Amino acid sequence: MQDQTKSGMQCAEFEALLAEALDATLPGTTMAAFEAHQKECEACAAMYVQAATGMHWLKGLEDIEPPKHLVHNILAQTIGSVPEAGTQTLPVSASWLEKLKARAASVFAPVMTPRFAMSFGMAFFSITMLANVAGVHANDLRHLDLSARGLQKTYYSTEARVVRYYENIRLVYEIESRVRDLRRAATPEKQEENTPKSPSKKTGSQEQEHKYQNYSRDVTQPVLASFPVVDEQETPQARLNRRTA
Amino acid sequence: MPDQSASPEERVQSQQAQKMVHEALQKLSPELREAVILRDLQDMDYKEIAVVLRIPEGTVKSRINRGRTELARLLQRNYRQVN
Repeated sequence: MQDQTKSGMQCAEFEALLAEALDATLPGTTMAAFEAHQKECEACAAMYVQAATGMHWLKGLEDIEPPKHLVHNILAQTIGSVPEAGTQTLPVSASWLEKLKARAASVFAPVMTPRFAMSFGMAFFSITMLANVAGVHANDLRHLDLSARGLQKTYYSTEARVVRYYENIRLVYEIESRVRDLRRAATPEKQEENTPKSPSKKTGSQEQEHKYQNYSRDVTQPVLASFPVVDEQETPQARLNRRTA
Repeated sequence: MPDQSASPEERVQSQQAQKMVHEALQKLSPELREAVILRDLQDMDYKEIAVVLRIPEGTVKSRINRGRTELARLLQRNYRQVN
């Protein structure tokens, strides 16, 4: 459309006022300018006629009664939940349980959707699977005492168990260490013979470094291996005697 | 409801005209169609339409104008084809 100024009004301004002019809601002076522009501008006049014709046709359409379940179907296909007609206006004689149900239904309406149910199911499944992997079972939780006294008792029993475990480990280490000392004291010469003679050329610092490097092989180090210690010098006959004894 | 005082011929003509208008409405673009339906069939004012469609009020008026104009052109074209 040409943007011409005719009768003090531009075509764009005419187009902006067209809808209100067809509704006859324009004030007097503006309406006069509008009509003056319409008389002078052929394009705008044609547009006015076409818009008026279209409006006339549309206004002539009969009102169509919407289908009975139109709103219900739209809500069902868009948000997935449908507010029941009965929940909106309950009769006065409804019981308190029905009123409570209606109120709860209106509050939980956004939640009671298939999508939310699916998400909730997946979350429950994930949590259950993680709990199973972690070794937590529902039966264990049932016997759990969460009172203050129960928690205190659990704390002290756990602490006692840890202390007992530590003491037992220390006792085992001490016994192993004593046994090793006794064995070394009983056979000092054999160990000296088995150990290769170190060259006398080593300086003091080299010896110290060697000692640090082999500190894990030190005989005083506690050994956790549970295999029975077998004397390398034991003869097959002595081994057989020991087994048959 | 159809006008009971009209003759059968007039009623048939009215039904045909309405059918043509409905067909022309279906040919409009969705933006123009929803604007003219809300205005001319639902009798909503411009502010309400702007809120519903989430567009400025000036755009609402422009779409209504273009929708009516386009509808009139389509109906005139159909009328020429029929005659």
